[in-house]
Amino acid sequence: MSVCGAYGCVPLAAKPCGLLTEPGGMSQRSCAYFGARYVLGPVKEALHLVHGPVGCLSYGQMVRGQREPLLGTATGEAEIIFGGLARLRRALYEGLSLFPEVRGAFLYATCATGLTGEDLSTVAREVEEETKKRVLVLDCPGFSHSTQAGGHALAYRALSSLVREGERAAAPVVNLVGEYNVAGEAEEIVRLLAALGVRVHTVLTGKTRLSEIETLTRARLNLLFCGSTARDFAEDLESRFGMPWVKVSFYGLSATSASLRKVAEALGLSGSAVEELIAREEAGVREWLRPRLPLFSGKRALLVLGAGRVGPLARLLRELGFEVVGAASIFGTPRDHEEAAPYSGFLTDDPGDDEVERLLSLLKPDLVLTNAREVWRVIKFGFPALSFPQEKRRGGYAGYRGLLNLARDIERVLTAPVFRLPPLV
Amino acid sequence: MINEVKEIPVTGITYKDLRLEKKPLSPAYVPPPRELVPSAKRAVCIDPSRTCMPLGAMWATLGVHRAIPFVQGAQGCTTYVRYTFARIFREPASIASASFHEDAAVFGGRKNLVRGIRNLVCRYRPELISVVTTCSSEVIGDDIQSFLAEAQELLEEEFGPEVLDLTRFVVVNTPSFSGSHVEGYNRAAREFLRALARKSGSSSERVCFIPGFMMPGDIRELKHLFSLMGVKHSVLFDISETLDAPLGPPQSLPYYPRGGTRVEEFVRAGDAQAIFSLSPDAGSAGAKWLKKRYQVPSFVLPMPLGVGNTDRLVKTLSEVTGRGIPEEVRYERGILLDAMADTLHYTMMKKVALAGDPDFVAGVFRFVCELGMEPTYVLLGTKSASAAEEIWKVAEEYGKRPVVMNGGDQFEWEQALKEDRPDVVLGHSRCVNIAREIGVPLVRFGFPVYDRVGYQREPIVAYRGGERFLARLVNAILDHHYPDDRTHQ
Repeated sequence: MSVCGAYGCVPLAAKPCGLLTEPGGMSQRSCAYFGARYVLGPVKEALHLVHGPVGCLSYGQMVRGQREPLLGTATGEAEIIFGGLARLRRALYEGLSLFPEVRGAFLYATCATGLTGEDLSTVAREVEEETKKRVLVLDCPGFSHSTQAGGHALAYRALSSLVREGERAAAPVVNLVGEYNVAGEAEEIVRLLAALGVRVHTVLTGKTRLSEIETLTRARLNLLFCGSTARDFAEDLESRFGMPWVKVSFYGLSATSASLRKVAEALGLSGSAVEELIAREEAGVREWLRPRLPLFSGKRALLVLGAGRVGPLARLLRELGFEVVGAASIFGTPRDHEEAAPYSGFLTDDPGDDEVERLLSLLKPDLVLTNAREVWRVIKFGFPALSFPQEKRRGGYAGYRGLLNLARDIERVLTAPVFRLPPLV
Repeated sequence: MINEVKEIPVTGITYKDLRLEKKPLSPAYVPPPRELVPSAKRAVCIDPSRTCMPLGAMWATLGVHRAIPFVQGAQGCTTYVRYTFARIFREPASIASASFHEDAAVFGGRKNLVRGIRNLVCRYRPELISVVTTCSSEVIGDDIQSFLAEAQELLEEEFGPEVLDLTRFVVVNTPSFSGSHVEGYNRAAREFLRALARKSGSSSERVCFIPGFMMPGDIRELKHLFSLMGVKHSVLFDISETLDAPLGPPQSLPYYPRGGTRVEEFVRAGDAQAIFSLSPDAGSAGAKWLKKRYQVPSFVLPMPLGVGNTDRLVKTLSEVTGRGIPEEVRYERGILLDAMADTLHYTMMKKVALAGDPDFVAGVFRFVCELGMEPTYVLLGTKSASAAEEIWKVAEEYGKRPVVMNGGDQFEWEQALKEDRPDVVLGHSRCVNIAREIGVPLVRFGFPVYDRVGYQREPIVAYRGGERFLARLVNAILDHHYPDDRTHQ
């Protein structure tokens, strides 16, 4: 099989992080608006209003499995030519009277309104004064950042501006920051923390509401899950309110146990209780995993995933016995690559469709972990693939129970007869 | 005497009174202010039943063999659409982005287009690239034609002049702030023909078809019908094999599915015996242009959904080609009629609400009238004068009095459904929430359907498709428990 282009062969080289996307490179990266929607999508008690064409409104409804209603101005030609702020103001008032229970509103800017130079903040201030509800502007036209990471940052900056100083709880209460509750993963994390006597104040942004964000400071500790999206937020809260934070990961056995120990230490909980919990949970997992490990052992895995998940999942796969022959982030940071490097072979960033195809045909992986867009290409090529985010009914992958879910899903993918039916000859 | 009784008095509980009142989901449920329900009276749009123009142009392009859309805009414009296609078809869809960043917003997208086209040609060797604009490039005012000329010049310099014979270019202007995906497809149909179609002088017996947003299964069903009728055909924008391809390692990289309309088929369209647009709002512009430019007889017909609409296609085709209607086609039609008669107790007088793209809704509207159903609220996600006209014509023919929300949003339609509950909802996947809330079955059709497996392969058009669609509709009604209905005991 030829793996080389005809005109000018572009060698398959590892790309470092942080490069701007090459036009025409068939990147999987998205825009700042997507990033902002991804983070804020499920925030409750807020009105979400997109100022832009109907497409941005329509697509903005697709991010995240669970989300709050999304409203928009669906700007037309008239607004592009004569300005759309009047329409935005009207839409905002109408939205607030249709959903009177909200405590505040998020206004999203888009490419079209960004280019016509609309100043959303004047409308926001006006409406804020009149209605006494917070109106936050996300200045996230699609072109404004090189990837969705820019939108993630903007969204967390907006959330950060909501947080108020408050009294710390005496009991061990924590916030989960950068935990997106994919397929209900937060449930397992909350369960494990509850077993230690730790209560969760809110899950940013998997399961949260404006009133909980305003009172974030009630918690004694922030647990940072996704470092790519929420690290700045945790650091910001530390510098403004002196809230300590620890980086945790609940993907995999050792990471979950280490994270539980970290949390216990940071909160000054008894070490023996933690060890007891870990021993009990780990024993169950190990027993369940043992007969399956020979299936995983030495199998070659390829990862093509967003950013923050590449490292933790590469480590998890190694723990299960896989060899991670390649890993590609879509919009990785050097930190993500540092995390992933010890566990993976070929490491690159922002692979185009052709690069993914060549990675597949050169590395011939036994298992591919990738996103919901690229999974179909992988399957088309005949490689067993597992996609993230997974469907809710298959359950979360975080924590001890999540590891069992993941291992079961991998087992299904690896043993599916469809990939090894004898050819028709 | 019984003969003197003019009207049999009906006593007892009427159907309407039997209906169970819907309990609000939570005690905190407050109905919205009445003045804000009609979408025309609001500035805010809630749950639109449409998306923006570029998607239509990308959809059309993916129906062409070895063609790649190049989206002159920010990355999101591409990623979202790729995700939409991935959800609907469970297939890879290669769409390239110009990756607009701040510099493009300031200096324009020239550099992005020139470099992007070069990368695309070099790395993917497509046979056709459609440059699809977006709101950003249209607001900036990118001069796409001159950028493209520069890109082509550079390609010739770098790879030799023959490179332009191997790769063709089509520019489709799709500013996202006007129209919808339907209009985007319409424009693509016109621009592809304008850029590629030629008249050689030697007439051909071939008939061209523009299918609009039909699924792969629908297109296959149409091809089956044309073969039965002995019509030589070209389906333009044929996604039936590009967005529904078998599993298997590709023979060469980069991966392209084997199917899709060939560029030559577009070139030869100028010689065609006739061109049919089977989706009036998505594709008629192409058919009309071909008629104007090359005098190819063009026919804009409603989507062949149900008996009457398919009859019209079959009759017109028979007239155009001079071939009779074969027995086999009549047989298939008979089977559809048989299925309709078999199941009339489940469909007759059932109240049905419709939502979706104008072409689909107008086509299905006639079908549900033929089934004896009562269409109540009809939402055309994209405003369309022709679809509304068609609906009113059919309504008059069958004596129905539906409420047509032309270009409204789903919020408006859903409020109406909450107050006057239909027995069944016909709509796309975004109608799931309302169907669940009011507790009636949803039968999916149109764009987008992403929460069914195999929907894209099961036809709804022509006689056999109509039979399949009817079976799905009736089964949905059968699966659903009606507290006030004893028809399926």
